[in-house]
Amino acid sequence: MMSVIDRIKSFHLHLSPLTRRRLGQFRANRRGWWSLWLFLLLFGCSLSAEFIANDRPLLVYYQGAFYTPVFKDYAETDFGGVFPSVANYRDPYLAELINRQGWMLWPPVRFRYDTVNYDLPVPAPAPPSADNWLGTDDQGRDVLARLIYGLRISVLFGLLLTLISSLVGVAAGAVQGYFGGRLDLLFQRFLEVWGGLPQLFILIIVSSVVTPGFWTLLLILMLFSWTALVGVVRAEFLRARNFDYVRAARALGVGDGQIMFRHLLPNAMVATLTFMPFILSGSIVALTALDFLGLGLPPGSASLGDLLRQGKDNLQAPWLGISGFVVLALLLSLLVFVGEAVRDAFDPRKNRL
Amino acid sequence: MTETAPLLDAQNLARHYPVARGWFQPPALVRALDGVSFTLRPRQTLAVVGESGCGKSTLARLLTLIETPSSGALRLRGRDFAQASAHERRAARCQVQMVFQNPFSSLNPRQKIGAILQEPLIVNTDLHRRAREEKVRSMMERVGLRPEHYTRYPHMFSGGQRQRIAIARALMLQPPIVVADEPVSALDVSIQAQVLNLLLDLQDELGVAYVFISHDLGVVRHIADDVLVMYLGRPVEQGPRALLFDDPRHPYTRTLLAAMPQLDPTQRRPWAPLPGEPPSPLAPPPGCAFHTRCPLATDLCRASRPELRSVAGRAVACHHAEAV
Repeated sequence: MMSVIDRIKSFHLHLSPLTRRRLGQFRANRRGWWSLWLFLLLFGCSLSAEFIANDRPLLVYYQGAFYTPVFKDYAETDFGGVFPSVANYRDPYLAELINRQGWMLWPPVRFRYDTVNYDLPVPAPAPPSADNWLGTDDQGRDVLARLIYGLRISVLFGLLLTLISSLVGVAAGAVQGYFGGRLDLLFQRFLEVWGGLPQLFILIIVSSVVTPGFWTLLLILMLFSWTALVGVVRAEFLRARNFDYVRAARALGVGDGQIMFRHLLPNAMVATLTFMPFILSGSIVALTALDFLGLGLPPGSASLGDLLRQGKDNLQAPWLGISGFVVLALLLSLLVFVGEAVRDAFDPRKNRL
Repeated sequence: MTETAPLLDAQNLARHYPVARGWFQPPALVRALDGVSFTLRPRQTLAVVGESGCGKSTLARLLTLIETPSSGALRLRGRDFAQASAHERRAARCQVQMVFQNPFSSLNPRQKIGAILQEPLIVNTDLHRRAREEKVRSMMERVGLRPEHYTRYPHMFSGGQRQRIAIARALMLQPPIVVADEPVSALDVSIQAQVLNLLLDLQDELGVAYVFISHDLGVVRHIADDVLVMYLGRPVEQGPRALLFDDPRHPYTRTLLAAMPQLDPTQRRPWAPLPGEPPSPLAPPPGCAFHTRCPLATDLCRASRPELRSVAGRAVACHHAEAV
């Protein structure tokens, strides 16, 4: 344990003083700091969603042997059933069979995002109960389970979209700013035209032609989100390409690519990192909006936008809309708080050296 | 020593920039540098003197092969690079290194001193890590930096120390020529002398030749062998230091010397400081470019431009050089 702490400390000392000060600034913003941890906790939970909300037990002890249904499909016949089909552990008959000669360890929520609860006492959507803690949606699926899985897909989608569009945007802005001149001029005009396109309508048209899946949706949203960072990165490169240390590097024979990567990119990273949490929340909102319109992820997948749409369609079942709203609002607020803290930590006016 | 072959030989070097003036007008031409010639030999220091906007920094960019001259010849060790391809220029770039005016902007604030000084070696040699570090450390010692500075960042140093780092970086590849663009004007006077002496010591040790760009004649007098005085992109007087300082033949040189601060009021030179500002390089005055501010200007100066001619051991571009 000591050695781990020592290693962290020595890593901390290896950081440049500027980075250390920024870390300190970030930590000094209590709201941002705790938001980050809460977000990481939520995200970590949703990453291990299979262990929190699942329609099969984590561990089964049957006839002196252990089974792990989470990782592996077992046939009903393995537990003394009749059919050689995949075991349905929620089936009272099979549960009875297993419990007679062993036990099952269930996750806290006994539903997956697509598990339909056929034992509802009322027509779906059912209100919150001991079984379905946040009720069910209009197809009898557990809302809590769908929230957990929906959070995961939203955040993963957002992270991936942010990452890819940042990479593309930074590269484009870097080339544009570094070389400048005619290239810059043409590219700037192209960006203006591109930015003037009505994004949502084009997204709707494209996603009605192409059947949207996770990856096609990512590509479609990427078409427009990559421009977010081009402006700032371009400005940084335009400013910094005439710095004396860049001229010195050029006089030393350092190539364009290396100058951009080693001397200019670190400058642009400040602007990029500051923007990233906001781009992330923007990406999540974009996906939710498309899902809400029914043009997003394929039907049946867990998504926050789909839950909101169900809430709109079933105003008599407020638990749908409210839980969707609370989770989305919480997620976005956390990201904005983190983003604010990052922005303050990178603020050069607070980091005079 | 001065009889050795020239390292650097510039003939009629010129750099013109077109400036767009709008859609329906032809672009104007700024003659940032027009007809500069000089030779530089090993262990020699050529000082380039002039007001801001006279083309000093353009000259520096041409000499470091970052920009191509519009016309003229630039021979490095006998080879002309004026019209060389981008590839050849890059290959030759490490022969001419540069020390910049502001040591606060010429070092990447995100790199440690060791990394800054290793970069030239990484790019231009295939030395191993250990060999590179050894070279860097010996260069640091040579310019008066302590070994523990190796892992520090530029902001931890004073201006003078930073300029030492910049000088060390310029010398890492042992270039025959270093262009120093006002290397001490951003420093405190007490530090200036240290850095100048370091430059002189390094010249003795390594035999490097300097092109020393400055507006501070006190510094120039201390360090230069030859002096080139420029006005509005053209040389106005050019020759050995002693001649120019003791017996200036161009009114502009004379005024520059008169503008040098003197501690002793009885020693002050009789020439009044120049009125006005240098004319716009977009529309240089006809005739001698200096006639608008020259106390000796005559109709001849307003009509025809004086060419550089040899007067009393140096080259002067003035119709009245004998009379000055």
